[in-house]
Amino acid sequence: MSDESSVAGKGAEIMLPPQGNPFKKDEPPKASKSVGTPAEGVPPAGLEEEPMDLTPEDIAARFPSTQDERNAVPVASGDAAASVETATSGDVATPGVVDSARPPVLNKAPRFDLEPTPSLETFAATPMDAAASPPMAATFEAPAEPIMVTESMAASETAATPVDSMAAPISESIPPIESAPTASAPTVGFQPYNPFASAPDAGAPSAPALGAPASEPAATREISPTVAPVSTPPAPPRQGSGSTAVSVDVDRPDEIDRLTGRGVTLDFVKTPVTEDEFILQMLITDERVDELWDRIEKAEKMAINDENTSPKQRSENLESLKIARNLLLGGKRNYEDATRYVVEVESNLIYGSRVHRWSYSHGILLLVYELVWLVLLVLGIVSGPNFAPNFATGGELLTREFVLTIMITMLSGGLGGVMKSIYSLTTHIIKRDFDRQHNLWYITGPIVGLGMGFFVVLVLSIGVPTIGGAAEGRTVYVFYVLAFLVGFQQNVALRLVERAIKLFFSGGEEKESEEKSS
Amino acid sequence: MPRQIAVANQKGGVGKTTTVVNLGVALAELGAQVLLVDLDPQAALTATCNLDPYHLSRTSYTVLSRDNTSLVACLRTVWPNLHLLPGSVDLAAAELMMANIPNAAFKLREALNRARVPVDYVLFDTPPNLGLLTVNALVAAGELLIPVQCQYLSMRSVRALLETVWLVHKKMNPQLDLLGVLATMYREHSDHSREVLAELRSVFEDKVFDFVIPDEDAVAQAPVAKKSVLTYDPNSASAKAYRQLAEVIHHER
Repeated sequence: MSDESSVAGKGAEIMLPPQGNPFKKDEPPKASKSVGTPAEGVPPAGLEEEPMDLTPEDIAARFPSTQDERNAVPVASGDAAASVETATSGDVATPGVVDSARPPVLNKAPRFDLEPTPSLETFAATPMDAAASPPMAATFEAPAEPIMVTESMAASETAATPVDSMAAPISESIPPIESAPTASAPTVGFQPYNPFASAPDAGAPSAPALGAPASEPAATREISPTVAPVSTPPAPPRQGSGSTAVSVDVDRPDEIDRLTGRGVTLDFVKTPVTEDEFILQMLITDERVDELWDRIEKAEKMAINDENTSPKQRSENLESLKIARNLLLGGKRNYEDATRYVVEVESNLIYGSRVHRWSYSHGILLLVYELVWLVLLVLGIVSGPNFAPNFATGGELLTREFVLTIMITMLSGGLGGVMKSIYSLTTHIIKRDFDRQHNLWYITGPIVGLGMGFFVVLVLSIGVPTIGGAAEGRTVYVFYVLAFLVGFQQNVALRLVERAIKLFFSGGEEKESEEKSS
Repeated sequence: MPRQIAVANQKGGVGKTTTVVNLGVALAELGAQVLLVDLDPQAALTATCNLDPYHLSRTSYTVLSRDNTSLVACLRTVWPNLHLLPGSVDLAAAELMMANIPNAAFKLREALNRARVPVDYVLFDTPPNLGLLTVNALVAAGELLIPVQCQYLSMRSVRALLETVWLVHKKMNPQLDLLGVLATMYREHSDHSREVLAELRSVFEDKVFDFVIPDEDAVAQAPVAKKSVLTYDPNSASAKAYRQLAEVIHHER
């Protein structure tokens, strides 16, 4: 088994989260070698040896300027290998840890493991540089023998056989890794292997024929002994190498001789599948998750005790917080969604307290304002006949009756606006949800009502030519009532006016846009 | 108070359901009253117990989705001393539905506390993810049993599970303890299996059971016959291993 595909010494890195083992909280979290969040204050794996300032030579090496340089395969010359031996002696003692997800340190030669893969025993016995070795390797011990209950044991043992009697030292049952075949990688060159070819190449493994019986001897289906796991770790990928990397078996001179193409092997690279997770761990730390959880709990208490919001709003807030909590339980990937729910609730609560305050400050003031308007308008309606002659010209148009009709109709419109404002204000003050952004609407309500009343007079004057005569009969009350209604429903009336204007001045365009929208 | 054991692993196909079924049967053979709870939308546990998960009216979904459903009314006795709260394919929609339910993670625990089922063991079979159903099991359980297939990808899923355990410990169930790590589908002659087992032991130390569940045909064939391995092939290595597991757990009491 090659070091690359071995999990030996990587157990903690693979299985333990950055926080460590939750069932051993007293232990400090074990630092992750290349995956997950690094321990606090420790840079991510490999960065500690990455030079921060690149020399021009480093940059030139990293970004080759010619096609030949880009295609060149790093060669492990004797000097280079020797320098690797001296420079990274600690690394040699860490088999199986191939950090191929990032480019190598440029002022060092590519790393080649020139020593045979150590066995478990030698692995455990080899003194290693603690700084360079993986955390688990320093304390690695040969595992206890797995008790495999075989058929032969089943035949001999009785039901009362104690468990301990089946235990045996691991060294007897587990062959050391050094006994594993260490043949070099398959030399397939750049010739693609076609698994469907009827006449396979000599070096390629022969695929079983379709419909071959399942009981076919295993020996006939085994691939060639030369096709075995790679004994040396692959060279780190170069910049822009894509999904494949080139590894060189330095034990084979012919392979080194054919570095330009035929002798290289194509291996799978450790793809950066953990990059997203790494970024997630870096950005969404446990502290942030805890903080958000605390915010949820705090918001929940506020939502429960909040007297400013309606029962319906309160229920919605609590629902949102429950969704946020469930999202957070689903994992860190849901952090943003959970945050959105929490922020919504928090803003709802803040807004609730504001409108509660505004209902009693701005709301009451506006109510007084509207009441003043109410008194003035009623006085105007009552005393209108006294003022009307002052505005009459004595001509045919502005007779005393017509002036009076205009005055009373306008005042009726204003009265409608005031009544609507008082009704709305009262409702909002009772509900304690008055928003001060509507202040201007309440302030202008009576004035707009007056204007709408005048508009009613004009419209009805067009439709009723004998306006002077109308003022004589009961028809004049239709004016007042209409003006009141228009003042009361200012929004509807204004919309009707707007539509009428559009109809008159841009009717064709409106029809066209309506058709498009439909 | 029964011992409540959640069998969980984020990866599918590691032997969660197989472990629940066979451990349950082995414990029942020892004379203990056992309740199996199927929380997996695939309802493999229910199917193994010879029930049709497509045509059950009262299932774990009913318990989780309706507040006043009696858990006892949903139980089926599938073997002497062995009872099942069957699963349903409806559980696939349960997570979405539960997202809007108050205290969704505590539903199962509340239902079990209300029902007070007179059993010695409750074993939860969880779906192969870390969603609300699994969290429900982790919140309701007192102990966690992690079956790990002796392969690299299965090791990877342990990490995500432990992250969830951290959160469950911190927020919902600080009492959750690790019962053990059970190596499953162990291939005796595989270097990789041996390495994975060694790594499990180096990380979880004495929490890894001394015995392993071998990778053998009897385990795969038993559900076809709607039986546990213990009844399908009592002399198989897997059956013996599960009996050993049951004895270890039972004698811990």
